[in-house]
Amino acid sequence: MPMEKGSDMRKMDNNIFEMINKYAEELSLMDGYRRDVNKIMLNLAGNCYETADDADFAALSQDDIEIVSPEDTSHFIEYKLLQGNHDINALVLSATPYCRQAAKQGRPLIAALDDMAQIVGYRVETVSYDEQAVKNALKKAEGCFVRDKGVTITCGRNLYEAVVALTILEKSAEVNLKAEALGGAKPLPKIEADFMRMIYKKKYSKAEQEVKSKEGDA
Amino acid sequence: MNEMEMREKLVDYGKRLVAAGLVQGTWGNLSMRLSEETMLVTPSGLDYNRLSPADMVKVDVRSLEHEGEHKPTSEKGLHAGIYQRRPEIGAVIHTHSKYASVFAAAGRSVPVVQPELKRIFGSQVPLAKYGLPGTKTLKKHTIEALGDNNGCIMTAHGMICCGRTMEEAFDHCLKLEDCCRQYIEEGYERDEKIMDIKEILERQRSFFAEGVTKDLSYRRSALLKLRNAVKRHENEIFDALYKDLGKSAYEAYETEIGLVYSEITYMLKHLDRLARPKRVATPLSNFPSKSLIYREPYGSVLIMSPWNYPFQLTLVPLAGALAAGNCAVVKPSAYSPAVSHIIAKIISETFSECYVHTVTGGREANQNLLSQKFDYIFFTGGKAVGRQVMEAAAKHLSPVTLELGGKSPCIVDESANIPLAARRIVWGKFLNCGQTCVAPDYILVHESVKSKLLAALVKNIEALYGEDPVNSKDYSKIVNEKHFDRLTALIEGEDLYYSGGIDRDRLKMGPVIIDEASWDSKAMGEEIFGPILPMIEFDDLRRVKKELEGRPKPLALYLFTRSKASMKYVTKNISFGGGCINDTIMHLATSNMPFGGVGDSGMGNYHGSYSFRTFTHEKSVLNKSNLIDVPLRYPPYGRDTKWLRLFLK
Repeated sequence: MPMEKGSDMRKMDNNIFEMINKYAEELSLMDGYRRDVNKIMLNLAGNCYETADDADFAALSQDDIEIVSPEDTSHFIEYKLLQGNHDINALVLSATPYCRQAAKQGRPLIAALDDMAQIVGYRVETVSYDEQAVKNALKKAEGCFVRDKGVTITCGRNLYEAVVALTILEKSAEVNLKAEALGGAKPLPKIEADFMRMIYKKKYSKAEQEVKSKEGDA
Repeated sequence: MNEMEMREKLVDYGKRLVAAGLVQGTWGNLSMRLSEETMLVTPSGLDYNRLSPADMVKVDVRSLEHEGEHKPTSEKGLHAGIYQRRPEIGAVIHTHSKYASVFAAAGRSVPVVQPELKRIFGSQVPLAKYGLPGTKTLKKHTIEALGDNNGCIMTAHGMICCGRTMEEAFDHCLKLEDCCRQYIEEGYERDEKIMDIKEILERQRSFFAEGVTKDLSYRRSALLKLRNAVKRHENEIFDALYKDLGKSAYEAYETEIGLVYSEITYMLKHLDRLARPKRVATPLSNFPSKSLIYREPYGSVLIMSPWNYPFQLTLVPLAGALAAGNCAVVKPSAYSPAVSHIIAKIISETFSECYVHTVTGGREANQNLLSQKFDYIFFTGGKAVGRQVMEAAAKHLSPVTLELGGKSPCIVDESANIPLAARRIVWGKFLNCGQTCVAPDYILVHESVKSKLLAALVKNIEALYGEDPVNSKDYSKIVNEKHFDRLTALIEGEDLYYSGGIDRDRLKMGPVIIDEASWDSKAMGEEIFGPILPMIEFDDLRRVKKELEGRPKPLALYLFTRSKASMKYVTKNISFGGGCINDTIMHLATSNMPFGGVGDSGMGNYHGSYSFRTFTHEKSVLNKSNLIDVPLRYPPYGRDTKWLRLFLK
């Protein structure tokens, strides 16, 4: 369903559009960007915004963003995730190359770097495209690999976090793969990784939150 | 430069870091020394592209108190520590750039080979031990590791670089990232690239010196990776073994891949026990003290393997070398190129060349390798090259294991179970087309059972490989034309009791039995290493002993008998590397017994715990108490040796 075009709505819509467009552009510049896979879903003020299937992120228009309901979303599982978890307000679907390779291995990706431990979480699972499986995986981390769709889902309290989670996850997947040539990445101790994540979520990201919350009230 | 100019510079270089791909999001941080007591640092958690000069935070390098609207980066202590320790430093940059992060994730320092980078970082960019972000531990480890260098890798974190100016620090960041990138990218291409062996050894020595390979969890992970890599490439290994030697998949698993798995599994299961220091009794003369034997890896070892079992004879010793904590260079044979290629592929995909590296090539490559100083050389192959290896090792005083060959006799006495003996001899002899170092080279048969044995041998050849063995899918081929021609020359002019056919185009030579051979036959003049089975009869085991005594000690000996007296006589009176009673070859399919030659058939041994010991230096350490110092050994010496005799008798 296309966005409504009332005058007051229009102003807010523009803010939301600008914000989504900014991150969409960023995503379109990443390796492995695919129109048929990449998708942004956003929960804002009770509405679920979704980029249209096959939308061109490099040249997004307002018509490419829809407010969807459970009946007309093409991504019902993701829709339900957005509605059912107050810590998840944004989702990014992507198919970046190193995440895909990590997913192919079928093993969880374990944090060997601080930034993954803090921003994404200690353990990113590879799961089948099943509501409960995806939900459980996203409880532990800001992302998961969906084996049967070849897709990576990252999430966050706002779109900024979901996009940053994807950036860090892709970098971590690449680093882990390349570290194989050096004898393999050494996983961080779980207890320290969990501790860092807790600190990051509570304190360190506050500054980021302040800035991001100004973006379209997200 | 005034404060405002510095603030602008920090903003500018923050953006440059983003543009150069050295930082993502709000990660990383940079600072400049403002005065002896103060520095300017980037604020915590703000996007570089949004920063303005006013956002930079002034921090006291001693108290870490700050001024301004924003909080400084959580790594302010680290920046301040560097300024305090290094007065010449004017700017510090910490990034989470990709390639440096690969080293950080692997917990590895960066070997530097490019001369222009050596001038900046020395031969090794150091690695700082792990500490939680923003903690004093991280600061302490990083400052210690950085020392007087211009950069270091921070375990699980990223890198930090410094310079007299911001321009210089930024340049160091770019160069360190590029140095890491080159090392890793080269790694992916190293299969194709002929690397200077000196350089490889230098890298292996630096890596070994880091002590990473001594860590048992690292060794375990290396063995697991090796096993997984072999599993991943199993089909390619089957193909390569078929291509080089015509081995069927069953035989390839039975005699190559399966043995590698089994050796790795043994090492994984027993690693803790094997590596543990062993406490031994201390003699009275050393009272009070304790005596411990520490298991220490040698360093960088060379493993040279032959073409007949090219896969397992490379990877079984490698498993031992890695379990013992060594780095390794492996040199598979040029005569089995397909297997050598897959070995190189597995190793380059699994390990960095500073840990395990493959060198392929022929004689020149061997000579090049042997001119280098390795900490241990493990060689499997023929006597001629074995001698060259030992000569080369002697120049560097490198210890060696030589797994050579020789003519392994198979004795069948009058009491033997002939049908079973024939079946086991046929299997052992014609496995891999007779190209097995421990294959029964010839048969010594008691005259009373000779005809019965001959009939049973033929019956079993046909049972195992059919009436047309050269066309059996389970029958291998001769490795190359040179060996094929050597083998055909051995049977020229001989009366053959049985011949399974010959096809030079396909390098196929069927089983051959020479029933009237003598000690002077051509086939008895050298190790056959092919499917030719000469048979010599005897009437008394004591004469067999006498004949064998005058010849080089064989790598293996097989005895088929039901007589306990014969078993005892042969095992007690004849020297050989190892062998079986009532079987062939199977003595090496175990990790619980040492496998190796004696005399001309080689020196040293391996398999299972013996491999571990082969690649380990046993370091004896006497830990003496400071409580008592028995004066007996010190001058001035008395005339009475009574007490000395009590301790040393």
